[in-house]
Amino acid sequence: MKKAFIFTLDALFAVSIMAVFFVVYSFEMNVPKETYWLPVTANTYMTTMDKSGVFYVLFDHNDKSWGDSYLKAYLNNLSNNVNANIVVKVYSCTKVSDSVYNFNLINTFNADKGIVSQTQQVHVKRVFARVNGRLFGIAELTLSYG
Amino acid sequence: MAKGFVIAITVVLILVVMLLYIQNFAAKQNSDLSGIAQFLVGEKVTHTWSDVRDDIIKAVSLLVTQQDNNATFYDYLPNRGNVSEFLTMYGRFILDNYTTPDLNITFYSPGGQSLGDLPDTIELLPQHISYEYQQQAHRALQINVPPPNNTWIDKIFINLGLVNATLTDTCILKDFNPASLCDKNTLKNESLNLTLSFSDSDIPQHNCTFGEICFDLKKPSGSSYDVHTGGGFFRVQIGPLKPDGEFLIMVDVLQQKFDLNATTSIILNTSDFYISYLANIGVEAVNYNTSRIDRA
Repeated sequence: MKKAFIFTLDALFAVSIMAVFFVVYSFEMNVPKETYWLPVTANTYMTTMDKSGVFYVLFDHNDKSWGDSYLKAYLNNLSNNVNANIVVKVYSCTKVSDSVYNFNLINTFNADKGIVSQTQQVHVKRVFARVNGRLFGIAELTLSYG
Repeated sequence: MAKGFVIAITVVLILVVMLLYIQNFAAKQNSDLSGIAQFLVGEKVTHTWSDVRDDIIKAVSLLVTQQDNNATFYDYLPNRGNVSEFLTMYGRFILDNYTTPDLNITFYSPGGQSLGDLPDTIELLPQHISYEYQQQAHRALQINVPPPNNTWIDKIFINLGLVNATLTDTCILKDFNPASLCDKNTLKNESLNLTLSFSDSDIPQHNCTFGEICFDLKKPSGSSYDVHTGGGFFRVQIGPLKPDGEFLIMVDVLQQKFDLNATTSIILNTSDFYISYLANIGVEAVNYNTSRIDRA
């Protein structure tokens, strides 16, 4: 009886350990929603900006302060239902030479909305280009949350 | 003793059930994570593909197809710029500045060949028959053929549709035969469609069907034909005009009173060729079985 009682206590102890492990494991394995909605949201924002032609406008403006304000105004009007923080950088380049694959950075524009967080961050990029003037650009958007 | 044994067995069973449940839970979570990762990779591939495609469509108004021995170019004049030059630069720019290590972006010719860098000339290879634009305003199309290679050409059709033209009954086909093709009756629906057919002079004239204007590629160099209408005109020239003798056909909108929809079919006497021009864009996720290869 005594032996069985000890055996039972051991088993109960094991069950308790397992239960604790199970709870911890469940929390660990639980997929945080941020891991998938952040990239989707970032891509949606970027596609909206790209298709609206906002980046192409910047090809025609070398004034950095104007470009930054233009981007900022666009971001401020962008619907932000998820309350995430947005940082946008736009690099515009021109082709320098016919014979060498050499692009010259002509300007960088920046704008942000909200306070950048380090908890969850996603980066997405878009390329844009124009035949006339041989202009090329990259836009980078960082969405952060948490 | 027996009571304790039953309790012990029950506890062990509970342990086994819990283990199985945890295992099942872990498998489900792994499956969910894998599904989410696959979904996100798919999203990235799709966005990258459409991003590149949008730029190219925005910049280029040229579609090239290849079927058997027929290479067809669907074009619009004036073109927005030097298409081949732009594509070369664009291809290099995205490979250097846009592509991330987890994605491959590949360009394919109409025949399915991987192009590496986008080519700076549009050519039928290995015959080296090129399709180019001339002049700064990109209003002239030119088909160049190195002299020994013109034997590869069976026939060339160029269909020209005038767009935004002010068509009048003063439409004149200078040096064309028959000249009556461009009278009031052909100017219907405010558009003028001409099919220019270029072939060897050995082909009987009766093969030149109604509505076609037939040209003899063996005529003396410098043959020139003008189409005047509504104050604008374009010129069709058969070369060679240059000393190097590569020029074969040029369609040049000399007075820009209208645009041209130009469909050019180059029919070779062989199907053993490919076109060095972008037809398909492929985006592939390196670590996943996810890709999109589709027409540009």
